[in-house]
Amino acid sequence: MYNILRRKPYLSIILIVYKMPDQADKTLYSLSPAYQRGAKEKDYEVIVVENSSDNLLGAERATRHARNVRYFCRDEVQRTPVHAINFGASKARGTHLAIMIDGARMVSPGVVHNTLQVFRMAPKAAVSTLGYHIGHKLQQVAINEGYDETEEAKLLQGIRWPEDGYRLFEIAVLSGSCQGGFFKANSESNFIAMTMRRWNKLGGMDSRYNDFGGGNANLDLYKRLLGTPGIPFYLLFGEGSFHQFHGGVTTGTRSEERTLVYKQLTEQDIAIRGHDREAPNVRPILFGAVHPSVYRFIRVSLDKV
Amino acid sequence: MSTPLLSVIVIAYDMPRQALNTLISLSPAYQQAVNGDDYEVILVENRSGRNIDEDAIRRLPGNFRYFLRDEESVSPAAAINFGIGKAKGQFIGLMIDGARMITPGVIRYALMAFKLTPDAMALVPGYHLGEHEQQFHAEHGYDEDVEKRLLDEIDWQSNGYRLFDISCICGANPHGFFHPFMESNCFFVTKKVFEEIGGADERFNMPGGGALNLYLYYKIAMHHDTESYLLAGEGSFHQIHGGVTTSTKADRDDVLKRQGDQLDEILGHPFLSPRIELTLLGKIPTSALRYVLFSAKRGIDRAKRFAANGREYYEDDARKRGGGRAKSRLLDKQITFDQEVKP
Repeated sequence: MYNILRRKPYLSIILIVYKMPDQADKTLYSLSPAYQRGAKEKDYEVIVVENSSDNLLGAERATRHARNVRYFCRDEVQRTPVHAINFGASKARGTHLAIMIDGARMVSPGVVHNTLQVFRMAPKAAVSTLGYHIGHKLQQVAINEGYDETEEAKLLQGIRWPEDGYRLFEIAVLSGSCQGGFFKANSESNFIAMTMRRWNKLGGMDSRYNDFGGGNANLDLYKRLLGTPGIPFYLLFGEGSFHQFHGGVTTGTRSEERTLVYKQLTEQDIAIRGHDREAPNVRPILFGAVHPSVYRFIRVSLDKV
Repeated sequence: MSTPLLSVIVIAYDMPRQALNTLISLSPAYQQAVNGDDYEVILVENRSGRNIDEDAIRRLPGNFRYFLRDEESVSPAAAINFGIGKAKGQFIGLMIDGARMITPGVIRYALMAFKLTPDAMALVPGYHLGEHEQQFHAEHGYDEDVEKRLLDEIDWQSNGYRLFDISCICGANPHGFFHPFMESNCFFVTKKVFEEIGGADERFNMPGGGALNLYLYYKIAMHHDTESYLLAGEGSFHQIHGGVTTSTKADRDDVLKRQGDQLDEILGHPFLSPRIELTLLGKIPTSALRYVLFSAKRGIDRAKRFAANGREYYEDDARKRGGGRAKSRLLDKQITFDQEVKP
């Protein structure tokens, strides 16, 4: 038939973890074949790279949900995940890889299958999904109003997660860097997928982003990928990655401290990229089935156009 | 020319201007990012007093084949089966009403759906040119001249996606993308599936085939192998002509009733639009965003109704596969996390 001669895509998902064992545990469950619909264990692997800390996830917890998880713990002298990502990618066996820079972001149940479907259809594509924050406000705002892990646990219990992972959309808002929604430019994604060849051509993450949380390294990767001439860009608009609250740099610190950190990160970003820092304005090809809980985000996205 | 992958069959009767526009919209000069050798277009015309200009077809770029038939029946069913018989491709596109022109990404995305799975059914949403559904146009002073002027104004051959700017949503699917579709006037499926459902049932003997198109859509959507893809950024656009249900007729309701009765009788049960989950595929042009917004609003209303009633959203998915589908299954084992709040 039409597709018989194509090489089957195999996806390596690189997940970075640092001081967030409980959140990463849920994220790993959300990536497991038990939760992912239509995805077969043999079609993908998850490579967990944990930067050493006094609050470890550890190998046993990392691998408890699925057999297609490989775990690496490394000592890192800089406060950035970029080296961990490049390390994880060097271990990847896939034809394609997906970068998840923040292990605290769990995903909806069709991310893996739909990504593989896109690569079956368009092997050289770039694929991403939008980022959301769990809660009714952005977590960097909510934290100032008392939002914490206990509040989040109540929200997750309210939708009986993980029974139907699409219900995460009911308790989420678009994250700050994805305010463009489905029809306008966004700055980044916590699930950025491409061919291994493209990753190598891009040179992986820019290791100069050596500050808190990698600073704007993920935005830089996203922009460089979508800026590749002629690359088809697919947005899994019926899927998402959902940030769980933890003491992260930009979402889990209080406002005064965050402002200082942002300033520092922006200065570094300008030093690396110059002033060409606009979000990549590429109209995506939409792909995927749409759970009813996503409809309101379609509406929100259109209100922005 | 190598054997085409796809054969698009267009049926026409007494609509030469409209059918020619439709063929132009199918040509590789208008369709974007396609290889002209990948598909052929078969026009089957039932002879009337106004047949299409065959020379105009010859002048079009692409692989067009034209068959003019003498048909006693007022139905297109036999013409469809004739066209299928001529098709060289393993995939079939069917446009039962030759008056429907399409947007420039239809062939590209239909072929992409078949890259995903040969069991794809790719479905193009339908629209009517003009501000109102055409069966009511006479009351609004809409006629062929007005339509021609609208098409000229947008220079449609150069700006195919501007067809969305001069159209309205089709009454056959009045609630948009996130409600069950009743039919599609431009869909794609394997020839094998088309044959397995028995082709176009020639018992649909009413003018225009009656509800034949609903029957075909229903049978293919409910076929146990098919996966349905909605090309949400594309459209098929009905041009005004003296068709059966799209012209002003005092007895329109009566005609629809008789068509519905025949459909139920041939199906063997009352017709309900298939409640299956569609996978959306495609780029949404700015001109189509208003239809996406409309669809989302209607979808939100439907989701609320279903949640209030506790109804299954895609109940036919389980039915067509003889059991639960991935989307509706519950987790088979319970898992515990440290951060859960105990009640």
